[in-house]
Amino acid sequence: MNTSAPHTTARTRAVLTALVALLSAALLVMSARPAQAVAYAQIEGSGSTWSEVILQQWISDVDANGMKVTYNGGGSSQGRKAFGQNVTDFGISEIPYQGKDEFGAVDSAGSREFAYMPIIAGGTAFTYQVKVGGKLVKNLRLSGETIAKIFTNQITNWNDAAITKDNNGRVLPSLPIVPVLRSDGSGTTAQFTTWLDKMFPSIWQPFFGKTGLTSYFPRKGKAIAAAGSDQVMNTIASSAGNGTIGYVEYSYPVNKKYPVVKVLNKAGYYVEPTQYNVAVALTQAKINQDASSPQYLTSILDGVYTSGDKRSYPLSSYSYMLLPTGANDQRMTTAKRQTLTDFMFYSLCEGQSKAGAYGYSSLPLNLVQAGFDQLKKLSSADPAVDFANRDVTKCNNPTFVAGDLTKNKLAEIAPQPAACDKQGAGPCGTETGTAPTTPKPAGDNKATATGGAAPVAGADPAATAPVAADPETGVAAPEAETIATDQTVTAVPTELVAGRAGDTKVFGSLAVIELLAIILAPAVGATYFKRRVRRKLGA
Amino acid sequence: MTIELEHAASQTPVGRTATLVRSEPASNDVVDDALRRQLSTTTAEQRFELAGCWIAAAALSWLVCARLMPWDGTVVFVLVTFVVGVTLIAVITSLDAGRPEVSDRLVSTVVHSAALLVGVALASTIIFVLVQGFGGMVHVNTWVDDMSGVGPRDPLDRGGIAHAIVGSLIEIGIAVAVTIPLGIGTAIYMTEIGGRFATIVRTIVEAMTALPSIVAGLFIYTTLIVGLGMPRSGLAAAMALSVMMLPIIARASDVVLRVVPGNLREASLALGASRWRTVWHIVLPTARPGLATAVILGVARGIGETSPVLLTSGTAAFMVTDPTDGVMNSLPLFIFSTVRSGEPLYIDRAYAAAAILLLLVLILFVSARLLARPRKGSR
Repeated sequence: MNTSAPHTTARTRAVLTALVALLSAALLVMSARPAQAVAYAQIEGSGSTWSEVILQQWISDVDANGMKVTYNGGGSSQGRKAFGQNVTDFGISEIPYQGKDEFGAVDSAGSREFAYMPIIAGGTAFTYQVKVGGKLVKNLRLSGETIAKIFTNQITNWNDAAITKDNNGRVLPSLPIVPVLRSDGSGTTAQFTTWLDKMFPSIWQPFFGKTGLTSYFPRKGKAIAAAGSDQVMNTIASSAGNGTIGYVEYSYPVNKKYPVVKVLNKAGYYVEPTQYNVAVALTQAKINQDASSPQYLTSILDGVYTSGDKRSYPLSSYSYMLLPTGANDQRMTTAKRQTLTDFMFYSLCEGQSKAGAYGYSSLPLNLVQAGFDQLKKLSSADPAVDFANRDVTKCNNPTFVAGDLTKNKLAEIAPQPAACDKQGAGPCGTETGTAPTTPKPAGDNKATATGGAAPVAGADPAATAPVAADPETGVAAPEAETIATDQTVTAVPTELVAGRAGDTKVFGSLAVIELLAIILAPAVGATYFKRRVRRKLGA
Repeated sequence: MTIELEHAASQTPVGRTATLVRSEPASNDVVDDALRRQLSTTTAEQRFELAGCWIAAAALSWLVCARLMPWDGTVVFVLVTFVVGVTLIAVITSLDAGRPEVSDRLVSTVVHSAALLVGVALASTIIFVLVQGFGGMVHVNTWVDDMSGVGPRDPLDRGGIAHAIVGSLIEIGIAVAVTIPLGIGTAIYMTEIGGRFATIVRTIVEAMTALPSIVAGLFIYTTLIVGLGMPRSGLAAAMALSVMMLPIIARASDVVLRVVPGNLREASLALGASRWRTVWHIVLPTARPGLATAVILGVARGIGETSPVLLTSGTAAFMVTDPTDGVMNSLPLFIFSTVRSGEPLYIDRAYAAAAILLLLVLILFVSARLLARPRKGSR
């Protein structure tokens, strides 16, 4: 025992030493990387999680050119704060500095000079889970006012007349609406509430109790809150999520294969936040050119919300990069400015072509031009920065023709909405929230017919039988049935007077009690009587 | 305890007649094994009853969940099965046994189910992560490559998380190097030197154990990064982790050092050793396995922490081996930033990273245990 013990210890030591040696060898091999290009320096940024995925794509694309860019998404507020504290080289935020945040703390860049530069656009999408006969509704349409009322708890049931009207008479089942909000401070919430505040102040402001936007949506009534877009999406997609609706970036429902709401625009069409619909809307975005305003160089989206183009998605917005433009910026060097310039030149131009695949949208010409004006400030702050060959005419952006800025390529390539998406027509049977890379050509309204199999009643199997026998018990929607013939996506809910949802529970639990009683009563009775006999004998 | 009592009773005849009221034979040597009541084992009939009850419960539960009530989902099914099963066991047992046996069976069912629940929770966590991460882990590049030049939609056979593994190891290495001397030193101070000030230190250490991890991150962020202008780096992250780990190691070491027998110290001091020699040669070697546990607890806390590193390290997509030179990445941070993106391939990578983190923690723990084994030959 005593003689063998040192041997085993020695052996384990040897093994451990070998392991450590192996690990450090691997570490050395992996750290032996080719040296970076000389002209560039590593730059760091943080901020919006909304833009993180496309930024990671761009970062990986420019890596081949020797640019080392790092980005971590801790949220827009964190990104603004870190930038203001000189911790990062750039920040990404969906909203400009607010001066003061919701909790009264200072929200400004301090003394750091900066400019807002648009980098990527996208639409705030509304995703939902409403099941009819166990099948997910995939073509819901809502007007802006209905959405505002849903999120301010004025419309609380999916069979509300306003929702029925938006869907051209198609009735959804009686199901309470559960709005899913973001519990953390979020740029998505800020974008959504900006729109609410601008478009429906009479609905939003009494609910909020204040005016203006907020990054923290007030939680009232049935609403539930989840941290982060991913968790909002998971809450909606969960098995208990029937009846929920929430606002997230378009990429989340697309990745999760969940539908998004088609929102009514000013031209009377219900549209999805596809890359083209957002880009078309953002051609109406204005940039605040009033140098005395605290919101100098931030966006004015009023024109976007009320754009008259049939294709425009009203809740379109874009996120900003906070660009350190100061000549004496304590973090910036020529190499860093050059890296940032070239990184952004790539992002604003070629990088935009990757936006659609991720559920974002390319910036239209007006915003790219505005972006270049801002980017130029880096080279005016430091003349050593090379800006030659990097202007908007050389830009390979998919929404305009490089070299010919008068041509409106976007208007040509963006597909028109289908006729069935018009207010008072349809609704279309096509699914929403599908891959945004392959937009359907305009006027594509081909939906595979299902024959007459459409009207499937609610989930109660016991209640389906009386439909044919006793038509008076069913409150069917007569118009809906005619529409349903060319639909693949939804069935028509038929609510039966005899089959109310509340009754299932009552009678179900009665049946359960009965069942358990039948099984347990004999044994319990036998035990009781045996005990009684025993007690009598004992007495 | 009772056996000793019985022995004492059997030796004194007076006690035997006066105090023993049990019908069972009291002394060990005269008992026939067949007569002895087996308390811990079950008969075949009992086992049959138990199995029957659970099968019946599962069947009933299916009937209730799937047919009668609009409850779907595994959780509801398991809950209903449990309630019905416990009821059935109670009823069936009460058919031919008395109240004590019924309550015994019920309690043992509940206790066993609780143990099962914990086991299932642990096993499902590990299995789920390993299964989900398998797709990423089978690629060699996941282990040896970094994410530079790899976009969110690039397939899993490109890019890897070597930079995060290395970053995690470096950060935790620095944190351990900082916290072991400080933590064990604090513990030695509290146990060996003592005094009024030691009580204050102990109170502070205990209060710091409950420190929310984000506060540790914020502390380093405001002092080192914003205050002193240090860049976000692996070193800053390691400092934040040290703040998290120090109280855990100090507290656990304190408990371990306190159980070192006092007479060992006295013997050493009596032989003329100084206080320092006593601590170094007697107290610390005696407490070695316990101190290893303390370090393991600290590392366990540190290696999985996301929030302190979130603010302090930044996320590099490429390999960084110098902890003082700018942003770094680590496994928890990599998992956090990719799993929330909603991108399916990123989520796969995150699971692979989580599985690798589990393996890494396992390797660290096993090697710490092996290194800290008490030397058999030396005692």
